[in-house]
Amino acid sequence: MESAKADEKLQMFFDGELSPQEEAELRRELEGSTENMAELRQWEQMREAMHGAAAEWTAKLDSDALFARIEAEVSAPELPSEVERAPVELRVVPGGRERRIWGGLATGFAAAAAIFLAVLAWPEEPGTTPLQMARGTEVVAVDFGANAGTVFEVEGGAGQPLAVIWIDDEEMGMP
Amino acid sequence: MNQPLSSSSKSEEATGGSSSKGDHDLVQRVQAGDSAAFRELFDKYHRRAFAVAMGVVKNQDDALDAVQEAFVKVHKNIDKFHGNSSFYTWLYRIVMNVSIDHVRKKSRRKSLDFDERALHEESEVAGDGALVPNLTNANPGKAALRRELGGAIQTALAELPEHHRAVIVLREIEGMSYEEMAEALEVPKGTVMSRLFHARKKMQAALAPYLAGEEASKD
Repeated sequence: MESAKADEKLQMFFDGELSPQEEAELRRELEGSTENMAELRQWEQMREAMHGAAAEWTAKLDSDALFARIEAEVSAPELPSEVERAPVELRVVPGGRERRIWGGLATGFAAAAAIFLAVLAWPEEPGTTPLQMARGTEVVAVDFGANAGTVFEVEGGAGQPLAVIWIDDEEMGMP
Repeated sequence: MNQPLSSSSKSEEATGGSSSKGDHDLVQRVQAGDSAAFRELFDKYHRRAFAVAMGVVKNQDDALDAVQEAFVKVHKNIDKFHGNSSFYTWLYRIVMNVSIDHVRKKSRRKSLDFDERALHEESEVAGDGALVPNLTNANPGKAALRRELGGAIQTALAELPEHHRAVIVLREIEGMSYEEMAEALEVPKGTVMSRLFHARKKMQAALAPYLAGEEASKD
């Protein structure tokens, strides 16, 4: 603790931070201390060397060129910083919620229609699908193959005629 | 006891030479848009600001960048300077902060350009008197030792932690008082004193061979 205090005082003496009275006292004390004198001398050497180095650094300095760089930067139009840049504006669109709902529904319908068309256009495997005809199609001929059958007409629920193609279970010529 | 060891080491340039009133007038003129006054402030302080920056960044290009950035900040923020502190402590606070930022950015890139930097440092240390202290000395042997000491000082400074480097540079190169350093670095005066003492001790340890050589050469 005492040592730290003494170090602090020695440094303050070296840096000219003591009062004139404290300084005079310490100066008397230091006369008999070779250790402290050596310390002070080394600090002085470092200070001189640093001053010398600083003088060399600044001797090479091109002041006008440096000022020109500063002037150019100061007079350049200031670009907005990241923070200052205009934030993305969010606009309130009237009826936006409804638009989103209808948009979603339209997308759904479009997807359903696309699936439906794809199913219709899908090539059928031969012989696996029964004959499909839209209502109102005129049947010109029926090929019963190995079976026997009858074509007749009945009245539908709405009073419309419906064609019925009746195929017998038993194949012709079978025992 | 030798006179140089007395307590008169505070730089006149840093205190009396700064002329606070003159600075205050110049600052007011800059605030009013007088670009000639800005040039006057630059002329008055840029060399010292550069020396301080060099002590921290240890590379001329980085020091130039730091001083440029510091003066640009001064120009842009001059309206915020109300004269509560002296202009030059405000300026050195900016110079110091900018310089330390440079060092930090550089250290983040350290692993990438290590080889190149090592070569650069080597050439600085082995340079032909670039860092020779300007002490009058006719003894060639002693002059060579001082040259070497100059280079070693730069290396030793680079080894110091930022906060130690800042105080020793402001004290030894700029000659600031403890009070001024406390203001510039925004730390208590006791902290400044403690950091300065430790910085000196580390520098002494790093420079021991050179300092001992100095002693020997005096005999």
